[in-house]
Amino acid sequence: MTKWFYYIYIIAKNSFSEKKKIIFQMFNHVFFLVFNLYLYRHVYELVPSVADKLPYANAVWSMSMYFAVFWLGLNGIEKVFRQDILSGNVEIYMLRPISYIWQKILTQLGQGILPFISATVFSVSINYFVVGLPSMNISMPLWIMSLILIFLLSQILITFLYVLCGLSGFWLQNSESMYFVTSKLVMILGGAWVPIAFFPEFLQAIARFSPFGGAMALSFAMYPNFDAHFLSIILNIIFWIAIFAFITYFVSNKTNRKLAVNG
Amino acid sequence: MNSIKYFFAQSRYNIKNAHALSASFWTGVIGMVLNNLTFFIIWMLFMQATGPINGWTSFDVFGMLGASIFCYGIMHSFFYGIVDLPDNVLKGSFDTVLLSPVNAFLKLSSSSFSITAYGDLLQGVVVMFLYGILSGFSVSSWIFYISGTIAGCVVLVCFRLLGALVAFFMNDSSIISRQLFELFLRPSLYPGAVFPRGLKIFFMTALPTLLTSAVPIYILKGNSAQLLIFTILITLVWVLITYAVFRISIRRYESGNYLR
Amino acid sequence: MIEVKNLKKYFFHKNKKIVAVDDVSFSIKQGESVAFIGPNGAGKSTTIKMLTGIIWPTEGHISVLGISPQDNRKAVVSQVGVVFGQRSSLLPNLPPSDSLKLFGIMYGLNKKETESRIKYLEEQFDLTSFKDQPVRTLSLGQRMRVEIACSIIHNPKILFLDEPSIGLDIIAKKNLRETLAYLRKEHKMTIFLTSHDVGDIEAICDRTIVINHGKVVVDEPTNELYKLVDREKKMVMVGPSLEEVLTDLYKK
Repeated sequence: MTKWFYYIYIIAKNSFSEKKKIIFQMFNHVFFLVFNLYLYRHVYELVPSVADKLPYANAVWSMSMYFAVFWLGLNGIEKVFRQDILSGNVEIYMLRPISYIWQKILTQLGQGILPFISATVFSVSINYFVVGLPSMNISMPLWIMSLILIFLLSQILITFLYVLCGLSGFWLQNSESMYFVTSKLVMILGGAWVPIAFFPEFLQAIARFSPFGGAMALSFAMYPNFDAHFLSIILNIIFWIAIFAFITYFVSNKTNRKLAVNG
Repeated sequence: MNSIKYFFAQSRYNIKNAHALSASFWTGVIGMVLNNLTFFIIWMLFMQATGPINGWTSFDVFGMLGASIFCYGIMHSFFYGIVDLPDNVLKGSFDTVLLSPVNAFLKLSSSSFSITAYGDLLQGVVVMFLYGILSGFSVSSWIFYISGTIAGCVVLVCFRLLGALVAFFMNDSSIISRQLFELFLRPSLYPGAVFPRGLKIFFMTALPTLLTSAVPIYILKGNSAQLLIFTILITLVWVLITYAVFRISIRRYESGNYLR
Repeated sequence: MIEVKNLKKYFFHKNKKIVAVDDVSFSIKQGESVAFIGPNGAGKSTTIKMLTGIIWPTEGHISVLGISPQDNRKAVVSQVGVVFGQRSSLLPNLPPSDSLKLFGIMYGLNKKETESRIKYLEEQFDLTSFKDQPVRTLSLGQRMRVEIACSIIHNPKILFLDEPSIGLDIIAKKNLRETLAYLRKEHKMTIFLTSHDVGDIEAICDRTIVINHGKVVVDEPTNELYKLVDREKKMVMVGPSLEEVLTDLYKK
């Protein structure tokens, strides 16, 4: 276990040397955070009735946490797979004594850990100072512990989702279309640009019980009635992790036979 | 003249080259169409929750997204080489642009093509056409809508290029270039109705992202020739700025140590 | 054809001056084939880029075909051909003829001229055996022949080649050298070659310019380079190989 953390540390150290890149990424994140805050404040002023669906503070926290988690970069694993498959480099990685999938997960984590931490700090700070904390029905310590649990489980789920997208490239040659479909479903059902509280009830249920919603369940954790749905959110994520873990295991065993160098 | 002839020939061959792998081509096109549908769904759901805002209905958002997708499709079909510019400068491949006897911007732009852009183009045209027909556009409405969208295409190309030109001033800038472009692009994906006045003016002038999406609808809804002229003037200003920065960048260019 | 006088190029990095090219002068006549070589970091690429107008000299004068590349790069590049060993300009999923047509348009040839040149080049470069295959399916040797054909579709007076034989097998290298020799002999094309492959230099180039630390250290006919090395190192029977000669020269 220690060696995996050390692997991530080395990649993160390399990533940290590209300071300009991180600065630009965070500038982008903060710009978008502030823009989103300002825009949604205007929406809530124009249409006060939306506050009944979701209070302004909760909406802002929900969307900003979605984008903070996004920086961890596990959703980018499909692109890495795609590039390796199209270039033929996947063969080189498969010759190493650690599984190809695991190598790529660790690399993505290493590259994403610093932007993720920075983005989270910015998101929490800006939200706290501008809108305060989201209104919650549970105590703060319990809420924070739930957030951590949901975050860890949802990131495992999102990894499986995008790993499967990437592995489809062994059959499709180019897995980009799978990525488009998956990422957009995550975007809609994860409440990226519009909180799912704005959706009709049936769609909210689909979001809460789908793997795509589960992959970004951290944004649901910002809703006032989160405590009522906590158990179903957790069980949903665990259920889909089990399903996708099995599918990933099965598919990854098949990929060795499908391997073909694309020069 | 030869440069323009070359530009269209290269674009034609790019499509032919991509279409040679037809399964991959159509998968990419359909994938992009599905990808774009997301924004239609998100904003339809949003408008359903809020109701009409500032005179905009969900159908206006539909028309706005059509214009935006069309602009994106034009940029990535005919000017995708700009996207690769930071990587080309890093590797020294930009030399091949300077070593050809055609206009450097046209050579650079047409040097690459995005398969999925064909999906954007197709979808953009269909949506714009449907919006116009179902809205019962008059001739002047069509002129306003299409002119506004063309201005948006030009501005999008300018900003994509400005973001890419960072490569001449910074090492290893492909991610920075992408971040700068996303900074420009993202606000344009929001319905034009939700922008407060100050933000609207900012995003129509200093960072004219709304020209690629909401402004054609603003022009249409206001039936405003003045707004169209203003849009064209803003576009011209940004074209001149981009031209100047491009010239400065070319002068600044210094390749790496290999002739590539 | 090519005149270079007192050429200098400095780069500035973090307030430090880097001398890439330091007072280089040479001239090349029509029909000459010249190897322009040196160890890595010697200033070869910088010099070539100045010759083609990609970068501008700090001092000195360059004239290619009577034109200053810095004043009129387009006029120069429309009359020269350039081949990069590791950079392909071909359309990967289409047959070579499509790339040739595109290059014809780029160099301002009309349809009739392009078709006539393509027919000629397909025969001369033996491209007909694979003319309907997509470029990505061709071997490296075949691709290099297509690259050279594309670069001379407009019948240039000078051909710049950078590491053209990199990655090619022995047969492909032999074919490449024969192609370039043919261009020299039949078309009086001036060839300006950079290569680390001494076989290329021996087979193609009559003259070798060696550059090191930004300066020209040797400018001699290729077959007389051996005279410049230490006599003790010469083998009794056959003389030192060109590789041994160049190794010694690089060390100087």
